[in-house]
Amino acid sequence: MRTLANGPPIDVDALKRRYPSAFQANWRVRGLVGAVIAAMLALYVGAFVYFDVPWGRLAPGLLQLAWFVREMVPPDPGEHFVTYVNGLGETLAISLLGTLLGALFALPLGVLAARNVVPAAWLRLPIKRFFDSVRGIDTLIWALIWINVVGLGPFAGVLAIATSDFGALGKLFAEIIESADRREVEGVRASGGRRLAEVRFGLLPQVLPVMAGQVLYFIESNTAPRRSSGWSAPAASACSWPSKSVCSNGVRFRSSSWKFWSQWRRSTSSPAACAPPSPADDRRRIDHIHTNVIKHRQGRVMSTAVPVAQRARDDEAIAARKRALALLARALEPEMAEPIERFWPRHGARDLKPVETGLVMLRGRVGGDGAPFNVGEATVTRAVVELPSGERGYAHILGRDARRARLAATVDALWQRPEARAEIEETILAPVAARVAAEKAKSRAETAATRVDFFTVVRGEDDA
Amino acid sequence: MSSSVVRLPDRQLAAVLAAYRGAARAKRVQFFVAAAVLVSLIGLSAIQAEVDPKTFFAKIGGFTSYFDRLMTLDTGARVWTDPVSWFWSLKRSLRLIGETVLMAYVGTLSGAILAFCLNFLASPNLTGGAATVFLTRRFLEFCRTVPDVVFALIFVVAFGLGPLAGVLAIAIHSVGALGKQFFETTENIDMRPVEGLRAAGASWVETIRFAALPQVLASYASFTLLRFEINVRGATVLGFVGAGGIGLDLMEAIRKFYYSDVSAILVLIIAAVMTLDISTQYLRRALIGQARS
Repeated sequence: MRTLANGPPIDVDALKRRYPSAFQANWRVRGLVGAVIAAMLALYVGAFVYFDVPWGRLAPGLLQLAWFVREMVPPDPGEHFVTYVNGLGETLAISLLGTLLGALFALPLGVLAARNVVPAAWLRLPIKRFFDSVRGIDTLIWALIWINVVGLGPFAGVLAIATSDFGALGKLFAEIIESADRREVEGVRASGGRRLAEVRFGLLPQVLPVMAGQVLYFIESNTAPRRSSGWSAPAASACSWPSKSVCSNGVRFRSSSWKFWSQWRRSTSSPAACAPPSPADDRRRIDHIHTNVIKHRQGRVMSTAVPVAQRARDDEAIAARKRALALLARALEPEMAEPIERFWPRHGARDLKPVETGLVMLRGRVGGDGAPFNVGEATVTRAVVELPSGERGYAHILGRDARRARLAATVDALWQRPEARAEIEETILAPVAARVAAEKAKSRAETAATRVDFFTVVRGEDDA
Repeated sequence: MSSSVVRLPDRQLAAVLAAYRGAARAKRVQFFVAAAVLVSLIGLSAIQAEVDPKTFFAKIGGFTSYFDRLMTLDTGARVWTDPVSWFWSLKRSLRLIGETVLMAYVGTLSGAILAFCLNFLASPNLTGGAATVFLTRRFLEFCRTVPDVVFALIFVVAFGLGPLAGVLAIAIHSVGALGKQFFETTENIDMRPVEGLRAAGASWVETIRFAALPQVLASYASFTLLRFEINVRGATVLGFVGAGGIGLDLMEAIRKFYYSDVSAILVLIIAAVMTLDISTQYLRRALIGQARS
């Protein structure tokens, strides 16, 4: 028997008898909740196992972070101050224009996507899915696409924000309109208003203030660097990738990261530590091309049921072509042009696609554990040609030389003709291989000449 | 039903009409001033952002032709005529999208747990000290305002390329965003159960467990699901800086002009985001319904 202060005595046992359910644990619910939590935890732990987290790098990484923070601390824009203020202004302008432009296009379509305006599902649902698709693609990706259209510069950022906000705002507008009060619309209809008048005088006055609020919020959140838009826009205006593009929003951040990147680069990017940038190292792609080529030639679809011997032969063919492509990527123009002029003057190769130049991120390995890091970006030119007889040649070369890329692709296509292969191997690939090997040996020799061998005093326990 | 409109004498009417016209004019003037300010702001921004309608209209063909190229295979055929070639890297892409979703999952869950622990410190109705509230809120603000891509960039340098950097970036950003939403909910709970438990002598932890949690748990879960969805979308681009997931492949495809690969990856991303969108929406509605009943 217990009592509350100044209250009547409480008979807990009697209460338990009267309300048994209030004192009993609901084991079914508890079991369910426990099972869900256990499953979530299992997925959580499993994810770390799957990610193959480099636990050994955690401690040095934290030290590096601490150093990074210390480097950042007296914020010092230095002579870049004007640039940063300008960048800030640019960011503001981009977010204002981008959001307004997106809202402008989202409004009519958002009205059309609302259930209470357009009852027909066949018109409404495609618009909604269209919004979802646009929204599903991040602003950064839109920026990359727009850069291809209007070129580098903040304008691409404006268009990128406009596109992705168009998707988000369109969906929001539709939802706002759907939650509007029906009675005002009915009032307009009762006084003889047409459909358009219903929307204009019944619906819009209700929803416009809410929509304006959302647009303002979007402008704000686009300015605050949260939506990574500021990241893409300066990325568009400043090509030098990691250092400048970090953000123009955080003045302090940018200057320190500038310092940080330059120091970090100096400390890690010794040429010996980097893997040689091989333009043809895109193995997956090449494997695919080969599989396709072989598939076409044999006139049947490769499947998992391919006999083992067949597969071994295919692997061999792929390895041979990989080697050829790697050498062609290093071949100089005369090395390819002269033999082609001499032996196959009428090869008739035509561009399957225009020759294009893009950027690839090069990765290097550094340190004793060979942890990968991004070295920087390089321009790569790609060519795809087709011979009249149907062979397709691909080439990727470093730099912007379209003629060289086209030549390399042509040689690759010719190489696929069994009767031409031996000749190409002999007249083009072998000289290139010899030259590359000679250059490599030369640079090795030069490196070896500057090598210093350290001799240490032999310690006592070793000699006996 | 009969009704009559009272017509005022002309003198009175004139005064009322004048007042009405004055009010209407003031409103109109206000509107035009606001419009002028907005237009001049737009003009200034357009200059600052180097907006150039001429380039835009001259090159808008590039946008449509870009999508045209996205829908074309290397062979020149349309992508849908040969889905096997279009989705040639389906297995790898699906694995990477799975990795992206997993990154968002781990990051969101870690962020939610931390935000859960911190938000009670940031709600003044459950915490005594103003200093605690202030410090916790500023910390959450810091986590929220730095974009996750920037965090990812830093973590890539510190911990190397890979999903760990992405997970940490998402987690930190989620702590900030969820923490704010959480403490805003917690601030507005019904205080009577809390007072009841305090009066009965419950400790701080017990008060939170039995008075605050039952009120807020459903909306916490709803916010977390929404954040998960946002994070999945954000995680698709973390790979751009080497922080794991599908982003790296996507950027490579864009940069190297493998158009059909770009469209294949984008289609897969959109499909994944839409599926998650619909299922989390369903879950959130179920949770909110449960909270209301």
